[in-house]
Amino acid sequence: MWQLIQRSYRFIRTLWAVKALRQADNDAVKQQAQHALSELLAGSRGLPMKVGQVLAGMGDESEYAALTQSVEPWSLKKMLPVLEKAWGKPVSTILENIEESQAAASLGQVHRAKLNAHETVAIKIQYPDIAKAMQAEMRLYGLIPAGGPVKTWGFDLQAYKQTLNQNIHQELDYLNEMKQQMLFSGSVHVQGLHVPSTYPLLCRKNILVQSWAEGVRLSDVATWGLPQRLFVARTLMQSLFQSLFQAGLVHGDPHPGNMLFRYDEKEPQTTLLDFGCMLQIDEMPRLALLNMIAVARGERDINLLTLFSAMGFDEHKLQAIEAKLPTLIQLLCRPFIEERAFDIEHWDLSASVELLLGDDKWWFRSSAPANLFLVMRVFQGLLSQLILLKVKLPWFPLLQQALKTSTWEQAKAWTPDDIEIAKQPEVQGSATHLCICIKPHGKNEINITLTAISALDLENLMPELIALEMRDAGVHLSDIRKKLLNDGLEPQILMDMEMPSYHCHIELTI
Amino acid sequence: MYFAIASHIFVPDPKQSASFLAECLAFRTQYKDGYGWSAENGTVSLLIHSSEQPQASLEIQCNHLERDSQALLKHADVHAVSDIEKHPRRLEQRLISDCGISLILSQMLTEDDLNELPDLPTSLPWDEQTMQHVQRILRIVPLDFRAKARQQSTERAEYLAVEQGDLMVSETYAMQALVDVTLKFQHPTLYQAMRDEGIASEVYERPCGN
Repeated sequence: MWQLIQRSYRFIRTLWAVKALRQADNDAVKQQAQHALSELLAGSRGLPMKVGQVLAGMGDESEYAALTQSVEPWSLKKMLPVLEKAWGKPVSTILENIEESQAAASLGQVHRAKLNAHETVAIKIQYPDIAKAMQAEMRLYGLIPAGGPVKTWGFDLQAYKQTLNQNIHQELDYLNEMKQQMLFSGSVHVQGLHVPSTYPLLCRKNILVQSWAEGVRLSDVATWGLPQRLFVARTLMQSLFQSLFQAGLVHGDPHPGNMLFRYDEKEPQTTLLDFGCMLQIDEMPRLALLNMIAVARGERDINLLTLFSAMGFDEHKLQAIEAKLPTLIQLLCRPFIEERAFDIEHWDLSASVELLLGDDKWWFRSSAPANLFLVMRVFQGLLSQLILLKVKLPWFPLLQQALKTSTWEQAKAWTPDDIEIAKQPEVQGSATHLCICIKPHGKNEINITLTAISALDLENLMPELIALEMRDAGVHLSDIRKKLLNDGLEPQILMDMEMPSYHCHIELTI
Repeated sequence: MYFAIASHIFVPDPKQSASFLAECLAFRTQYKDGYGWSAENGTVSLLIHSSEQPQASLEIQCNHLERDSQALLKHADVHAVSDIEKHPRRLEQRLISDCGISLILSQMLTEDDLNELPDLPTSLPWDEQTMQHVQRILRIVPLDFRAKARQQSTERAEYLAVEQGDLMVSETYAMQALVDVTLKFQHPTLYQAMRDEGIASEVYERPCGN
């Protein structure tokens, strides 16, 4: 119990530190806050450290990089009983020797051991009681109130929490990790990529045994010669492309601590470690994503709403920015469009999207499926890695080579007719737009313009807190829907009301 | 922030200088009570002040120094102070006008004048000899278009290399790239330049109509 209280206290302190960091108004304060947060996160295992790893991103040079490198491991003496309990026999009956851990992570730590004279293995042992601690922290996490854009634009926060929860549970099950590692190893074949082999008979829910891998970190690779850096970059890029578009099984946590690199007389070798957080991407979104690139390259002509819908986006929300989608996919797919070595360092995607969508970017993001942010994080990671390697490569030929001909053929044969889009009831009317203006008291107003038909979906569109205040004031959005279904979508003011925290004006216009 | 910059020049007779600037260098001149003479040509503004000790020196950057110098010297009130002089990266000639304004005519030397072969803007490693071939072959491209041609052929060669699974640019990719980015009417010149470099151009020659 005391341990849980301690962990909860530390978790809350972490949240405060994150808040301080967000509010830092100059670089010096920001750096100080980052350092403090980094220390706080590094001092605890489990969820706070996981948060730290997310903050560390995929680069090797962030303020939080220490979190992926230098957490103090527990002593072997403390971990041996865990191993013996899992195996049900003395360690000495299986291992010739086992060393103190040099690498601790958020959920467990790795020990180098010898099975016999020829086989050296890495044994990942889960920290005792970490599963319980994580569950408690996840419950605590569930209490965190939503704020900012999450509140305003109606993100499906529950889905995000659920996705995070699922991933944490997956990571806690080392038998699942072993299966994913074997599956990945069997389905992703890229030149220079190495996945350690596992020892299924020695793996348990809290123990993972795999072949020992030697190597240096990505920041060391950055000092290698250009040919070697290019080779490593190609391996990283093609591993992601093949695992995402073909295997549908993506390493969801490719931070620097989960990669090792070797270069001897042969070609450079990239070893991927830690397959605990794998993203499974279904065939439909995979093919849709591949087709989005084809559309952006002008090789196919597919309705973008259906394309995004196939990727799991909420197509009704996207209708509001439908006219901007062709430009948006040009921005998003730019590395795959340019027929030259792509210069990531000068690719300011956020600024371009901001320029195109303005506040509507939140509308776009809130329409995205919850698991997409994990895929985006993986891509963000790849970009950081390529920047660190200081290399430029053309993306599309690498994508072409990474996938089998059959995958390309499957993508070309895919049509949006395969998708079933939930249709809104047909309602006549001369209104073309739905204008929503929400003004939180004392803050700037937020204006959203959608297609008129979106008025039938006001219940889902309206941020939860505003809908709650409306209900308290006796206004039911379902009544508005009924009225519109009866009377049609004619230009009219649907609502103009003062609530305790907001002023809300909703109007159908031409 | 938007702003305009004006330079001050000091001459014995501002009216005569304004007249020189208008006639010889096509400045628009203006006289305002209380302000005196000024001149501007859309890129430079000059405020012309009266002084017994002239301090007025204008540098004129031109593309054909010899031709422009001849044109200026046709004016009766312009005289050469020096011959055309060659400096490490530019040509220069000094002229003086009767109104007291010194003119420095300059012309930047091009890569051809300097007999230089600028680096290709590469992202991948290149075979050293191939790179030199390409640098020399690109000399068939008129100077004004050469930097663009250099960039396009480099990018194309690297794209072709990666497309074929290579991470180094060899002669095959480089020559193919040159053919791809060169306009068809220049292909005969390109093939000749390849042959001059000892490259078997027939390997890369495209049949008519392709």
